[in-house]
Amino acid sequence: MRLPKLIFFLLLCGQIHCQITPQLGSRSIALGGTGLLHADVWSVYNNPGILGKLQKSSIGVTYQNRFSLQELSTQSIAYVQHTDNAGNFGMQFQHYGFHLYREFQAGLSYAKQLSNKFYGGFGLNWQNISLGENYGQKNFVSGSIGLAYILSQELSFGFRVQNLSRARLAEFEDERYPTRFALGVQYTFSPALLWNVELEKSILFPTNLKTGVEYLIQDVFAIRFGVNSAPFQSSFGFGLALKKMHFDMAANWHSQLGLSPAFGFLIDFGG
Amino acid sequence: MRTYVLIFFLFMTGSSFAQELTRDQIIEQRIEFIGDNFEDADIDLTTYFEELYQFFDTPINLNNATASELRQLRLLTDMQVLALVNYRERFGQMVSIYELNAVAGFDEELVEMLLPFVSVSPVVEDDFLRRNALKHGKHEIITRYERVLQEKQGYVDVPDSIKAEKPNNYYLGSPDNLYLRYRSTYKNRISWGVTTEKDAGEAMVRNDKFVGFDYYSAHLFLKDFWKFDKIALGDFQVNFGQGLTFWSGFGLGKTANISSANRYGTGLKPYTSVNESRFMRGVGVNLQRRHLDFTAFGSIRKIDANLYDVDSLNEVFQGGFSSFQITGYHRTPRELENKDAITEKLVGGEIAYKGKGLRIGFTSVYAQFSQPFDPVLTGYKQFNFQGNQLITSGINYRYYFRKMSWFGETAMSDNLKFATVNGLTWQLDPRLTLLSVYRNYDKAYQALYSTAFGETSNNRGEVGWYVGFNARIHKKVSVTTYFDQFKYTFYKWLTDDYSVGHEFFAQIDYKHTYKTSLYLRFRSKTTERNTQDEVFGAKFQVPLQKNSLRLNYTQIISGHWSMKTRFEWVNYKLDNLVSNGYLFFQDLIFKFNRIPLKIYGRYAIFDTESYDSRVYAYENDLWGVFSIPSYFYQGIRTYVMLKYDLGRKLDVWVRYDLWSYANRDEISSRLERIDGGEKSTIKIQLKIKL
Repeated sequence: MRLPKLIFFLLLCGQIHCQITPQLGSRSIALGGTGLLHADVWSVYNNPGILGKLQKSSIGVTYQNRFSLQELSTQSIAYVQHTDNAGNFGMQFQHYGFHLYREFQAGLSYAKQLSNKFYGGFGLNWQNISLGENYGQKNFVSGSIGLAYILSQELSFGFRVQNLSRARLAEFEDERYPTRFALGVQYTFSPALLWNVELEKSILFPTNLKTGVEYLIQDVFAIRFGVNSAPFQSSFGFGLALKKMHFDMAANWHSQLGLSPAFGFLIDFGG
Repeated sequence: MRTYVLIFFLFMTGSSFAQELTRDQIIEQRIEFIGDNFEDADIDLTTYFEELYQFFDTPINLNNATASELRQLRLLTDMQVLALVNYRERFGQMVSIYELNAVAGFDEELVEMLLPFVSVSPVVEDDFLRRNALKHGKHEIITRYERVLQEKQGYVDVPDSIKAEKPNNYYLGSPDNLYLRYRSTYKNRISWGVTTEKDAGEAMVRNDKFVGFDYYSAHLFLKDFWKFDKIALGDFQVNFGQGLTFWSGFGLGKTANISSANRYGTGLKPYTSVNESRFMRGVGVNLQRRHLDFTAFGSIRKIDANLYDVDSLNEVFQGGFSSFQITGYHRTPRELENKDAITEKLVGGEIAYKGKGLRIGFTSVYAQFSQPFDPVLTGYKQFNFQGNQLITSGINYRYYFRKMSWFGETAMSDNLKFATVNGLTWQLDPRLTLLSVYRNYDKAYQALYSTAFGETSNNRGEVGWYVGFNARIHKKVSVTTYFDQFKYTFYKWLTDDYSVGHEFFAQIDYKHTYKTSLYLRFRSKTTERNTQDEVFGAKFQVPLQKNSLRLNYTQIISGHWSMKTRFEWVNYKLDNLVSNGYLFFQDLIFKFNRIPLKIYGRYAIFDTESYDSRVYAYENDLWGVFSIPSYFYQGIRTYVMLKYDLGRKLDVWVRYDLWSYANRDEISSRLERIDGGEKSTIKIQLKIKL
């Protein structure tokens, strides 16, 4: 069962142009992969812009399983060191795949408040992709930038580009690692209800419209729902926010490939 | 009453944003606003921006500005100009610029926009002295260097012996683009200067001989001098009426600013641009006496053309030329051959009557070429001009009645074919303006310099009706929309039948505060073109549709930061051929506090299925350079520009830009070809004020 599904996934991948690197963190996953304006530890990767808004140091861990296949799982860990005057420093590690296809990345980010309600940051990623036993591996470095602007209590705007310089994977056919350009807004109806809408464009892939809604049923318990347009996926999840700890569960549902569950937690320090 | 109004507005200005936005930012915004209205990479607006900067340096005094001067700002509608003149007549001279708020049809936003270009000061007697002109004139030198960093095919280094075999496969000069300009102005009374340029690929040294720049232009322009109102010597521009008879500049048509459908022929103007094809070289004078406005000009200029070979063997002298060359490039032996191949002589002028609310002008222009223009006239070109002389004459008018302004022009070429364009601007309400233009151009109407409103570039074989509205629905919301329906009365390029078309445009502007603004623009244009199918005989027509949707968000964040974000989708349909294009970009501008440095940056990603679904976007560029490139294929686009003001005397610009395409192993073709998927350009400019 497992192997045919894996093959099916790899075949479908070519047709629907699935993007391997999603947003990190179970909260973002539950919200349809939106999260350009979540000022949490995952912003280290998701948007170094909003990272500048984070007011405390924090650490987070997530495990995601693609389509319930053990081989296609992502493990990630991120850490942010908040400073009062010098901005926020972050780092993250991600691992994806299995012995035939493996992606590993380590990144550093820096962000700070640029002006009143305006935040900006950048990240540097080192990535390693290794294919099979005989195909060898490739190391490359990519840069990312992000911005976030809090227009009002209700509305904020975010922008992020990952892999600014179109890092080259192979000379053959000039193969490049995908550059991802994303724009997003967050609308806060009330402290308990927020709505994310984001557009993501990768040069060779269709525009992905992503949206997600988060509702705090109770002070500590939130439910989330999201949709992605390309590839079409729905997602849902919930989160438990204790004093300094947050637990989040999420799942993506692709109609052919099935469920991709994820869970994780994060711990805040200080603040 | 007036005093109260004045006091009120003087107080009000304390809260206005004029203090927060610098004059520089306002002029930049203005350029950007205009740039975003165009979707055409080739438009040359240098002259307009020169004027704008001119007004910026020497603001128009509202107390003695004439209606035509006010219109040159291109910020005011007919009605607003009229209201201002009436206000002045009724209340006398203005005391403060903020009094404008009390003039009918002016609102705060418009006043803010006008501020950098106008002033209010008591009208003093003419203090013009020739001595002052030399002593107090403003002198400006601009030098610019530009180069594409990748090697193009035309610059490949090969031995001369190989070059000699195919000399036209290589450029003669270096890939550097050089530009040098000197201009001196005294108020708006005197302007003189020299402009020179060498395009990339043009040689400064040919056959071991120094030949210098490829293009030189010089002008001397005097206003209110001796008995004349305007005198132009050297290079200048002439624009009359609606541009049907004669308009040497560029004409704007259907843009997001509906009033651009209404032209104001301003007569003589100095010329300082580097567009090598559309200007006059000679003498022009303008006289204004009471109700009479008289302009005459003469121009003799060598222009580029494709000459026919002279068959010397059979001693048959055919002569003549087959086409005009308007690119201005002289980079290969073949292009050089065409340089200055024929002489164009132009004589023309306008006599106009100016009354209260009425102006009628009679224009006529005679053109003569040193050799006959003898193009192959078949198919859709059948009625084009040929021969070596042409007379085109016309009548233009402008008439104000209540809240209406009627304008138009009717012209006739010497083959007795007519063309007419007539329009109306009607301010139905202070918040609603209507503009309508009807044009009917005969298929055989001929004019060498016509750029009147319409679809066809030469104003020929077209009937159409345009209606546009601009409505300010709310303090924060305005809507612009137009509809244009047209039909062609003859064949066109790739159109073997009489075809029809229409265009629809709508834009909603939302200005949350002066810092936050948003617009949504939709444009849809349908024309007809030959079917792509293999058909025996004449091809039937299929619809060609181009739709585009743009969402633009501009945000001024603080005194330092501002940004702009855009999403645009273009959809192109020809028969069953469909292609889509997408563009996303993020702009960020940062202004330093301590040092006079400003940094502009853009990061864009684009994905268009073909060249047909390309997307246009305005880019920040060097002072005096105006760029609206088209984004096509797939890739990223980025640029960074630094502007450093070294005191009042020296401004420096440095700009680096990059196109990085995906799935392309070459860019452009033939001599312009670049191997690889990247193209980057570096530009450096110095502006020195003396």
